[in-house]
Amino acid sequence: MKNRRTFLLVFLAVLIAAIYGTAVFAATPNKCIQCHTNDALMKSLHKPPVLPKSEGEG
Amino acid sequence: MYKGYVVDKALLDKDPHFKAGCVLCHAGNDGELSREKAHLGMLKKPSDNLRSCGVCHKKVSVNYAKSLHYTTIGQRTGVLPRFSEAELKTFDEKVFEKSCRSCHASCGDCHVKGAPIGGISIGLIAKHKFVKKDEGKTCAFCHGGRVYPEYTGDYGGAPDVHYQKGMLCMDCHKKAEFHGDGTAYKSKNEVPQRPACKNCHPNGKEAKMETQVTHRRHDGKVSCYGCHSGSAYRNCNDCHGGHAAADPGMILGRSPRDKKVLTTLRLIPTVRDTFAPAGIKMEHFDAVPNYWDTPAHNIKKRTDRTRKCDVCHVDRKNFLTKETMIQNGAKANDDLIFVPKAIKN
Repeated sequence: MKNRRTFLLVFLAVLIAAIYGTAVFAATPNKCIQCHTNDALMKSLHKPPVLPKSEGEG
Repeated sequence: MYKGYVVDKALLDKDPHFKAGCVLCHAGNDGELSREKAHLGMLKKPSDNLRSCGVCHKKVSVNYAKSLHYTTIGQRTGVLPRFSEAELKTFDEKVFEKSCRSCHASCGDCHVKGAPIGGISIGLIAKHKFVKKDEGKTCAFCHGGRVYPEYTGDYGGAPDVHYQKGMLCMDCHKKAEFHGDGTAYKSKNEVPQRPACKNCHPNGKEAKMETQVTHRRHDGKVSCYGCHSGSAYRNCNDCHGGHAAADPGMILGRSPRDKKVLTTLRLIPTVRDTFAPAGIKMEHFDAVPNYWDTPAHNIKKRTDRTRKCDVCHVDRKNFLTKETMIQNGAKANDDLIFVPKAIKN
């Protein structure tokens, strides 16, 4: 009987953690896309590459 | 407008690739707004580890791991007969792994973002859309030194007739050729899926009887390119100069892979001192020629050669000779000289 109650408690705790965790994860904004979907910002951050003084490729 | 790393917001909801967020493939930290912190530990090219794509595209990624675009082993195969055993070891350690192998293409280079070539990248092909193909932004970027501009005519020669008809790379070079079939081929010449003119243009189907006869007469003796290459093409030394002088041109000679066949040859950039900086003398440099048979990508239905037999059989135009041969080249070059027979009346 005691074992059954412990199992139930653990199960409920895991269930709550899983549901709560998913909710937290879903609510966390993906900050990558805040910058990477912003044309003007991305353009302003762009630095032209410094070309190596090597031979051509292709 | 710069579009290097701008992602199309509309894709995020509809493309399953984005369902689990950026970090699933790119790692880094998607909870940070600071550029430095967000990019800490980020993978620029997640598909360099083929297992990233292999989670869902298992068969393709397993096969691709052995494909020539990924292994780049073709470059090693071409040059290895020039080395002694010790030299090959040095080449593998100092040159192949550090230089040739850096050119390998992984999934993303064709499907997401153009590969950086010489420090330049076009960025995302279509705002991070996973594209099936976009030859002008992918194939053309890596093969832009000779093949692609030769094909489109941008190089200055005549554009290929197939390009004029609206065909692009993947109309001839099929998916199976790129993704591989699970066999680790040593050279593109071993790949069974590689295109062949006869796949679409079999002998005997020509409209004119005269053409049928000409094709039959030259079958097995002259490659299609030998007569149908429409103009001068670029030789590797045109860009990789410094080793030897070379001008754009057409070179006809025996195929190094099949000496019975006359074909278009291309001067390759490997000369005696190419690997001297790595301490490789190339003990067997003379074993293989400086010219390889080349599928010129400037095909024309009608050329000077298809119109007049004299261009080859009397004038011997563009045939490799001792006089036109690269100076201080390999002794094996001599075996490629072909003197066409005069026509008997």
